[in-house]
Amino acid sequence: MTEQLTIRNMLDELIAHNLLQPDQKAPIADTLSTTSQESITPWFVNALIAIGAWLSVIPFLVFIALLEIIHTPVSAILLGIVLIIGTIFLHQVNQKGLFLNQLALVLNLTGQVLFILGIAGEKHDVATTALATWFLEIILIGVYQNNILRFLSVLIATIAALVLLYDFEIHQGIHLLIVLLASGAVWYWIAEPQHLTDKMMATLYQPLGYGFVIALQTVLILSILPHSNAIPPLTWWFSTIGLTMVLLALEYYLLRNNGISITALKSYAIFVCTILIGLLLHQSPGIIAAIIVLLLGYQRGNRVLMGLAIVFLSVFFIAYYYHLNITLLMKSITLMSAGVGLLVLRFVFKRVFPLSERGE
Amino acid sequence: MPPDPLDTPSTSHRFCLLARTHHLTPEALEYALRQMGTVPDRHAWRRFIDSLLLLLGTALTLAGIIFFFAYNWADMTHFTKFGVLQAGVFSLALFASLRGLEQLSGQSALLAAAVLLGALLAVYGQVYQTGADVFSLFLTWAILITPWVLLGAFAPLWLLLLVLLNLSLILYWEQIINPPGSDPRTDLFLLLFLLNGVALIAWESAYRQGVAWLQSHWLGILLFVATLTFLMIPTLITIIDFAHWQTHPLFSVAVVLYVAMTAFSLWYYRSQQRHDLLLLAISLFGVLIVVTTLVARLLPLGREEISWLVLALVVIGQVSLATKWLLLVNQKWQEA
Repeated sequence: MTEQLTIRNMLDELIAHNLLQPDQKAPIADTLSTTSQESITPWFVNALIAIGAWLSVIPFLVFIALLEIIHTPVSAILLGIVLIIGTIFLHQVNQKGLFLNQLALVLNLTGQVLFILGIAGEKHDVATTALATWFLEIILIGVYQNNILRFLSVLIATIAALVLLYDFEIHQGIHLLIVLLASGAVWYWIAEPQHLTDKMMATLYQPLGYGFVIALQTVLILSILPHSNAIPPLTWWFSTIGLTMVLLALEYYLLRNNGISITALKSYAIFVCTILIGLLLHQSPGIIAAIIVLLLGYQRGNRVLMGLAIVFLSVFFIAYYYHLNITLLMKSITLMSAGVGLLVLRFVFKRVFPLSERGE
Repeated sequence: MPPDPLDTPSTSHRFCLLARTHHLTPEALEYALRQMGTVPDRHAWRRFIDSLLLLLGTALTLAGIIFFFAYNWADMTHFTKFGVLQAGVFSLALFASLRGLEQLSGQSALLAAAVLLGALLAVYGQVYQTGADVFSLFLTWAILITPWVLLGAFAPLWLLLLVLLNLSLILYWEQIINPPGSDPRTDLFLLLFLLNGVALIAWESAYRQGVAWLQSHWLGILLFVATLTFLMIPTLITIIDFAHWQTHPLFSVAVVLYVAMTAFSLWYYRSQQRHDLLLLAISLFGVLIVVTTLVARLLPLGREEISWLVLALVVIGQVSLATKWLLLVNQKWQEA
């Protein structure tokens, strides 16, 4: 069994590599002894808080509706603004109290729903409502320092962007949105060490990073929905091209980061395989997006991202084969060919680029 | 006296904290994370790609084979179908045996052989039109793969066996014991709870004894969620319609078992023997659903606005308490 690395060993190693000044050890020990009691909130606790918040919004909205204090859209907007501003103050003055924080989160979401519905009722204009939602979410991301609300704000802003594209009939603009979300997700997670040491980004990158990943995959669900009049016809291979470019850029970064020359044979092999996958799955950009998230998750040692990627990869793969317009026999042959192809690729990779460490 | 913080194990969480408090540069943080194995090096990447290709390739090939036989291609004779499948099962089992069951490729081959055995049984039923109930297919399949499961020491194989046993039980109940359209199946839920509960206890025992191939956390989470869900469903049915409580005494058994299991989980997963914050959170999420349903059932929600406010506050109160408790437990563990 290998001996566990202590913080002291690691700091010595950093000093030996000129990545840390020797006199930094004492302040680091001080910081660790004073802040070691602080624990970060695990993702599933955040999920519990978020689900609980949405569960409470519904009875709150019914309560407000039954009070009969909202008679016009303007009163809904005003009450929404009062709730939003009130909860911002409540959250600012009460950073520690969990009940008041949760109450503030629920009332803020209730305020957002009232504000957005009020604008929609008053203006009868989708574009104004979507733009107002965008404006609101951007302000909230900056002002309301809560990971869950910031995460939800990214999702709400993405929905507003989709509605705006639909209303302006720029249907193909969705591909630009998808590529922007993917690029944002890659940047947020790849530059994690830089974000952690940046005063502003340290609190922003996690909720926004997760928000971009979930928003990206959720938007791509549209690509696997059955044809309906509500969804305009979209040329999904536009997104595939954009996402394949993002994937190639990510691979370029990972290769360079691992000291592998871009002109090496294995680099070419990886790029060619990626382009082939892009061509083969040109109608299924969701699979490419899920691969991007999987690579990001593995690179950052982030199991939540990897779990999300595996779930979405399974969903998009199943949808891909389900929607193939061929017989079950042909589907089975396609599946077997793809599977055998991957196993052959693994065999070739093992022969051409053998594992430098023992075993599997 | 508390230990020197510098002599505590280096974790990615602690180094991220040091970066956030500006003690480490981004380069120093990245170097430390790489040394700890959180950020993979080129060898780790190579192994990851290798495993990914193997698992994805195996899964797609197996799915293709199952679809192929589901198509029931008329141009293929019965003997060819049997021949292809039997050759597949035999060659995969042989490959697993030659490769060794401690290797991922050997384990994947054995899993593939176990899945193909099911396809072979399905083709048998297709060709000879045995007229047997579907549950017998799954049960026979489960019985036949049991020796491989015991030999394989591979968590996905155990999961396959458990899924087959669950399916056999559900189908047996639907087809033999209780025809469709009859009363709520509390007895079935209780049997499913027993089956999955026994598996969960077996997994917990193996996990605590340090059985290497069962140290992966995901199987335990799946078993726990399945076991809890099979008790939660009859509990929620009872709450929604109290009449079930009087007409079907087994509902009260399910409710008592649900309460007991939740209480036990909340004690056990924070006890000295076993620390598991995720399973504690899942238990509390179950409590949130059950208590909210009960309160919603008891409150006069028609036109009483105050009832809706109470319901919202009850949910907020539960979530706050659950979060506070989980964070306290987590903090205690970190201090220990």
